[in-house]
Amino acid sequence: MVKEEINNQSQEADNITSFGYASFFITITKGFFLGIGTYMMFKISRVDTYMAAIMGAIASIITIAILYFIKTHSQNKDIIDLNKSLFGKVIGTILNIILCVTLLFLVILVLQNISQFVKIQYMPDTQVNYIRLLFLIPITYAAGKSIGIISRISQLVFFCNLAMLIASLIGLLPEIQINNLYPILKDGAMPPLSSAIIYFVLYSFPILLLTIIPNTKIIKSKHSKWKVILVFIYASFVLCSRILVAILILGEEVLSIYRFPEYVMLKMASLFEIIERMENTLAIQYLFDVIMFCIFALYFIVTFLKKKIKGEKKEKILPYILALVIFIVLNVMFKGSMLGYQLIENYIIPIVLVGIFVPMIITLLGTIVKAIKDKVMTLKQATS
Amino acid sequence: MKIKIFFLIVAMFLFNGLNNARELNDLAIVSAIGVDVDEKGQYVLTAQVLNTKKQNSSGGSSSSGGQPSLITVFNSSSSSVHGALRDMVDQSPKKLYIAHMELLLVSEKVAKSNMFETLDFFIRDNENSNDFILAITKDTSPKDILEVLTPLETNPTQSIKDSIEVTYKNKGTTIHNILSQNISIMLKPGINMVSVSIGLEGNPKEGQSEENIKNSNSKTKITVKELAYFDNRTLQGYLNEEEGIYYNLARNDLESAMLNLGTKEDGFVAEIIEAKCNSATKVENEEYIIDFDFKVKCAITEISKDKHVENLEEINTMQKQIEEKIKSEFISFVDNCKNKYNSDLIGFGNLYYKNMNKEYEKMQSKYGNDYLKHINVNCNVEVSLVNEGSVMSVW
Repeated sequence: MVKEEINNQSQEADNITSFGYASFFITITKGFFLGIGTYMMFKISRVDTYMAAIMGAIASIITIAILYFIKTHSQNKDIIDLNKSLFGKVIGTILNIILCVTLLFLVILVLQNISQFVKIQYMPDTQVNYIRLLFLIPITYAAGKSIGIISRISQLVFFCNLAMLIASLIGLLPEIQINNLYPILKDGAMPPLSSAIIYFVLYSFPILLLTIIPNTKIIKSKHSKWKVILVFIYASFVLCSRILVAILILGEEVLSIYRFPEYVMLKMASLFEIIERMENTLAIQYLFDVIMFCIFALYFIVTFLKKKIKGEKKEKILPYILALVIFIVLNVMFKGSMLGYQLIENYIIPIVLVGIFVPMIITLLGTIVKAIKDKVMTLKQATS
Repeated sequence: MKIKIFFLIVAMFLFNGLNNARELNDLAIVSAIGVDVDEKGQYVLTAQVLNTKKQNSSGGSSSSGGQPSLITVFNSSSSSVHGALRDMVDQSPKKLYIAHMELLLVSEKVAKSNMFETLDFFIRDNENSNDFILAITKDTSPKDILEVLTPLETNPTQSIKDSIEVTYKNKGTTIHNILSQNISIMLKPGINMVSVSIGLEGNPKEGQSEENIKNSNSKTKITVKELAYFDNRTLQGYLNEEEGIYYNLARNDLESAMLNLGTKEDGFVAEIIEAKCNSATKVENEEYIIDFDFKVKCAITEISKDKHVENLEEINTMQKQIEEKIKSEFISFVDNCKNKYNSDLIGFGNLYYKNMNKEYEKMQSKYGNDYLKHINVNCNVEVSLVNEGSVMSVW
């Protein structure tokens, strides 16, 4: 009886509320914001980047539609089991391995970027490995927990970031100069369109990772769908407003000279001219974004590995082995900072497209074919 | 559980950034830096550091002499700005900390070379936030200015900064730009930078001693001078004092200014208390025209014995006089920018760049850097006298 109660309690802890599920739409989608996505977008479309952000946010509806379709026809399985059931053990495993390897590489890239940011801005005299460990320890610890605990972390991060966003916007409002938005579309419509693709690829692909959560773990409530829609709109608002405010404050000329313009703009924030130099506190929202993305990506990989490797003790040390692999790769690959920047600028879009979008679209096509087959079968049965 | 807590405590001690911890006692807080160049072409840096050594608690002087100075100045030279700054540790027992720097003084010699190269260290350094004032030292060196002790304010840098702010707010003949704003202007197309300039009156040697602040009338004073103007990031010269008012007016940045109108017998003084500027760019028959529309609110602060402010007709006359004065002075300033200074200070090119980008490109291809002479400026001034003071009739 007691054992049953404990099992029930642990199962309840493993379930996530609809708000917890919805909060992932914002907390895991901004991992590539600082120094990666916005840097590439500002370089291409400069002062028109806010248009690219709006277009990219609208295009992200496609990603949500893909997620929604896969989850509706997933038969309450997560993406790992779904791929195996749709394509067989071999092809399904290959697809899952492509997803996991790509995610691992993206986590390494994002950690390298954030470590460089912290080293340059906060702790230039500190060894970069200390900083990497500082991030890896909480990420690894959280990634080894259940999805229920991760969703609670996500909800906490959601509210912390909301408070910091409000403080940033209030502090930056007096520094806004509307004429920094001009000239509009100086180089035509192509640069914002190219940037919109970058936005769509980098900020919407994490939504597809939510297929790792089976429907049975989400506690459905009356307004579940509305929560997801509202949080998605809020997520788009946060990204677009950060980009727009950076343009309005810094202007196109200054945007192009800084590596982290979204951090530099925070230097101008002051609350009622009393509290100044808040940039280091307000920039914590960027660090939380990266940490949440890394936690979820590692959880995805750990879930896949747990299905392959049986044994409770082996399952517990999986996140730590992954963290060790990440740490070693970071030290071997990124001895200097320039390789990271080159990889980010030249290869990250193709990597995300081939490693995440293509397998997900294959899964989507598989679910569409299966759904059509199932419907045909039901029709045949109904007629016979 | 105990292992987790133990591990957490160990991690807290190891990973809390102790490597980067710096005690306040180990830092020499720099309030101002001066950059100059010697005959060999090496940068000569002067750093003014706040003296945090405890003063004598009795308040009296010790047997050996008076109180130590409230500031300490270090000088060094090197082939680079950062090198010169780092070399100062040979003289200073503490590492110089520039995060709270409030003023950067640049000599005329340095400003006449490419300013951006000199400022590269300050822009690139992540410790400071680029919120300090950039000023040119007119007819003197940054070293002489930073060594002067000032009355009224114990921190000379704060005294200079306050002088600039007070002049900007009350006289309108200078600007109050921080470095990030200057960088933005330097990088913008179609506009050249303008900067505050600081000068010295009196003997710099006498300014270094406490005698300078003990007398009621200091022999050595730091003064805010006319605006320095640049062309292509190099210092070209100085505007005259009144032109600073019209520069701020055109940039919609004028807080207050004073206008002297008429002669001593029938003149009056008007104080501008609020000013707004709207500009519109247009192209008519291949002619580039900018319309400036100024809305100014003034108060009469002083009138001469032959002047009256008793009826509406006289007030209208005064308004018209102020309008004529502002219009003629502004047009004269624009003509000086075109012909005498040969530098687009107000940003006519930038207005076209932002509002009519295609026309800007045509203008550039047609006239190159001489586009300024081909832009015509129309000026409309609307003055309203809101206040004649507390005296209604001649007394």
